[in-house]
Amino acid sequence: MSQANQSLPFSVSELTLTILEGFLTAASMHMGEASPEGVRLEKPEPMQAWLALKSAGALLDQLAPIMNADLRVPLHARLTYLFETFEAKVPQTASENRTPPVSSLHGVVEEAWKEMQVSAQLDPAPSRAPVPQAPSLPGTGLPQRGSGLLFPPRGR
Amino acid sequence: MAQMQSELHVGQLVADAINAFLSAAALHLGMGSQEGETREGNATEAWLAIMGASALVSELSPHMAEPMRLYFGKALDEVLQAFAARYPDEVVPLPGLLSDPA
Repeated sequence: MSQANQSLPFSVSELTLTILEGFLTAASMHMGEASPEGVRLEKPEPMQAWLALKSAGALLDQLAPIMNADLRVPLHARLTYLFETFEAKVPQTASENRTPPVSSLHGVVEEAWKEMQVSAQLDPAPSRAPVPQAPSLPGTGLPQRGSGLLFPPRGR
Repeated sequence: MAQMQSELHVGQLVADAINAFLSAAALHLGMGSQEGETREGNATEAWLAIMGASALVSELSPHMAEPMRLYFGKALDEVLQAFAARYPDEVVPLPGLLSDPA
């Protein structure tokens, strides 16, 4: 705790780009390509590639409106290339599994604030016992039974 | 010749990424972390981290096992509420916020 009470320099932009890079690299590796370091997977899995593409697509879809063009354009181009490569290799991918179109970030935020305000009005008592809930952000939709594709974090 | 790697779990990568975004948001909201604590919040950075986490949770929650979905949903709600409490008048950041740090 030597750094307690100190301001820590921490760039979320850098974190975001690192995570995006990780997903794109994971997708290409699970499509049989080598990583930038020359590492290949012994057993590439199309479902893992799909999950990585979907994750990268979700981040780009959400954050592209606030990205600089010199950052957004190459990332979109790379995601599009990987997705087309994936579809060529795994042509039976259902259309509903494709990455969604870019949505309005402004609308997403406005909806989130509205939901939060409505929740606060409906439930002003902060002492009420917390009940686990599905994410309340727009776009989540009604909670669905999990497919189990993702697993709980280790140690939880 | 390429070096071979036995496995790469994207599910774990997703979980780590969401956790990283949530931790970053908490840090920039002035909340404590395991490694330390920051007193100076940064609304824009916190907002960006929340957007990153919400993008992944929103898109992937239908494919998550229920304990994971509930855990991340609750954690995201808590961070959102903390953001609203700390920055009730915060405006949405302008385009161009996310740029190459290099």
